[in-house]
Amino acid sequence: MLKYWICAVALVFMLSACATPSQPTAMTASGVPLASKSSDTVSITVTGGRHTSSTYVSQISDADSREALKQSILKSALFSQVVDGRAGGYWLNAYIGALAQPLMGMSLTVDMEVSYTLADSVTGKAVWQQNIATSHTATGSDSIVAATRLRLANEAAARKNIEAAIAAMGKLGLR
Amino acid sequence: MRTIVKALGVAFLALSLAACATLQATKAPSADLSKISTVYVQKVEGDGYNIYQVITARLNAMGFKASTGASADPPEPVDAIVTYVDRWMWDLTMYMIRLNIQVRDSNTRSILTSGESYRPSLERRSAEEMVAETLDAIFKR
Repeated sequence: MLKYWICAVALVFMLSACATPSQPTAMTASGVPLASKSSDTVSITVTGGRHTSSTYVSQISDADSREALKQSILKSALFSQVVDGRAGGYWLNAYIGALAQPLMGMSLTVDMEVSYTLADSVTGKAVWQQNIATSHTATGSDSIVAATRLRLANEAAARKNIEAAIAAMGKLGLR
Repeated sequence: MRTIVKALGVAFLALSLAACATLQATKAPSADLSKISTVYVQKVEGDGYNIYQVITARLNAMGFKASTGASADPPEPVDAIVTYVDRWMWDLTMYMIRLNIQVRDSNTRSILTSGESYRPSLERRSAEEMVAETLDAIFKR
């Protein structure tokens, strides 16, 4: 009788755990030390992200990633302002090239790679290009639900990636 | 109790079967894939299914000059480096459930374009077919 109860509880747990999208607030970096800051504005575009499907696994969308990047830049004051469209003094593009996720396991490690390009809107030329790879492992102590663990690993990998990007841009000595 | 367990089992099975196959490819905004003619496929350590050979063969069939090896650096200059991540599951037999392929700039290692094929058990295909559909999606063939 006990094993049936265990099976039933386990199944209910699995069925109730739908994939949820990674949240911008959890991907936002704060307290990034900067060597220098820019007094100019920046426009941000993010590509390569995916929407989360309830039957698939937690993903990172372009819009959520852009919002996290925007809030991180504002918190760090790397640029004076983040503007929409192509009106910024600098154009920052982030291409999410890889988000490698495990299928199952108690410890779930997500590996993320983002290719960043920062261009000067005056010249149109790239002033910085870097491929940044980060990873994070979420364990059973983070959450017992696998779908949640995967989302937490996504968010932490993205947050680390944004931190590294902002720290790198802070060393450029932008105008 | 058995009825409940059976009902939950059926529900779980239905949820598993409901997952659809997906195929997608994305490209960095500034990437120009038309300039790529020579590629190097970097073998993943522990590739027990020889996916690197399947990818290399498919790229050659698509008209690229493709070589492969275990080293991270190609033995001779190439236009792009191809990396991949293959995930496998067991359901009566082993099958590839997900394949990610990245095409990288040979100098900076930045990802120029990437593709993913996801196929759950009932929509499984051979490794050759999943490699072909992913590379076709990446290069828009």
